[in-house]
Amino acid sequence: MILAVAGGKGGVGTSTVAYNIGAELDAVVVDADLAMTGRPTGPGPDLTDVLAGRADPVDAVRTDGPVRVLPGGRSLAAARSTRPRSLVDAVSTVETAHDRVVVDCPSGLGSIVGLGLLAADACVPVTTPSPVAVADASPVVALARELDAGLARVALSRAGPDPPRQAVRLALGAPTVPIPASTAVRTAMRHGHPVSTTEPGSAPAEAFETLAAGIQHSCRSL
Amino acid sequence: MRLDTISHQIGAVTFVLGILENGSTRALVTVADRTGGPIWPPRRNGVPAVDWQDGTLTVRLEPEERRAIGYATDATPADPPLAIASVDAGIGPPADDRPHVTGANEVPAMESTPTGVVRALGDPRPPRPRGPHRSAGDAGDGSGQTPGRPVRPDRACQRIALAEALAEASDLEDAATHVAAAGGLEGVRQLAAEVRADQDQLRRLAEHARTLADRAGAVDVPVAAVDRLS
Repeated sequence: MILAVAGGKGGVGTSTVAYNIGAELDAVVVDADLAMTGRPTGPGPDLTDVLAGRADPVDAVRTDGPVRVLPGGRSLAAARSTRPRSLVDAVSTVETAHDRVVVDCPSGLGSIVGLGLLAADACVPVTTPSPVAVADASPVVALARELDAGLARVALSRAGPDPPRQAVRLALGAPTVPIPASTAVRTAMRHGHPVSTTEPGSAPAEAFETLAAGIQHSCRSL
Repeated sequence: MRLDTISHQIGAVTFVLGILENGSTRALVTVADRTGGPIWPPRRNGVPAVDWQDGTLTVRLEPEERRAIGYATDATPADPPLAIASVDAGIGPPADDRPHVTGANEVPAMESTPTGVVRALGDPRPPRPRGPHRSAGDAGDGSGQTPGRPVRPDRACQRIALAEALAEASDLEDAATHVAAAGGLEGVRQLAAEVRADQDQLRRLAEHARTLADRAGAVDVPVAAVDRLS
């Protein structure tokens, strides 16, 4: 199963959602940012090496952390040397080896988002309760439809005590799971951990568990 | 708000159909399954096309709108199999009380292939640094390679990198991207001439640098002597 997580708007918590879903689903998280990944990585090949044909996608998967990750690129020069279209094959190769893949798509509505959605069986749009963020997630949903990636769930990140679940559900067209705003999530992410290991049983940990269960329910027939 | 339902059992599976018929005001209506079994809604591309949650489905209906709702379950039919759980009548239009979404208009039609996606959404690679080759008319502003001017290694590096990328382009699309970066066919011709000039000037610069390095290595700055004299 390949799942694309995409936010449209930057800063809505897409990478956090992707990472925590990856932990829940025991999946490999492919950081599909070619040049500006914010996730710390050690030495070794990254996505730009894979997309430039310098590394095998399976060899580039880091298996030494709490979540298996294929890191994104960190240099503009390396990003320029890539063949982005090969992302689809690379993600499929990782799926063959690891069974489940979560593609953490960059913000915006560029080709990498499109290629991630093209590779994916299903999609999880991410938005905050802000109407601007919801409006930016909407083209992602339209693009997912265009590329036949069904909507599994909407992740409503940084949700307050009374999240507009119904409004977001109506706007984006899929069951919506609120992820409560929490410093625990940010702290865990900063240290490269899913919140389910740093704060098991906490509200955000349970929310990610609910989100993952909903995704699995949606994708059961895949 | 009116709901008519029928159910039909084939083997172990029950098919439920409901027709919602709205009155004269816009409404948000929630219907609830009464069979108690799992809901198997219609699927599109493997995922549910309709968003049931916990045995309920909420839909927005415009005035006088009729909407069909269908699903399957392995429970035995109930009477009725589906019922209205709540109606929120007189709600405002979408733009009034919830995010107004026009996303579909922003997505171009595209072929569902990697090439189709890149063609429709653009090359995702960061642009190459702007070099002097981009415009044939900018040679006088200090960025171009003008005969007689000392070569600037950083500019030459950009030109050579683009020339290499052009030479190594593995397909037409890549080549077209680099040709565009060079400023078109005329830009490519100019690039070729500039790179040849770069080669000559860089070799001269290297020779000059080597000579300077040799002089730097040979000289012994008399720090101690100067110190004593001061």
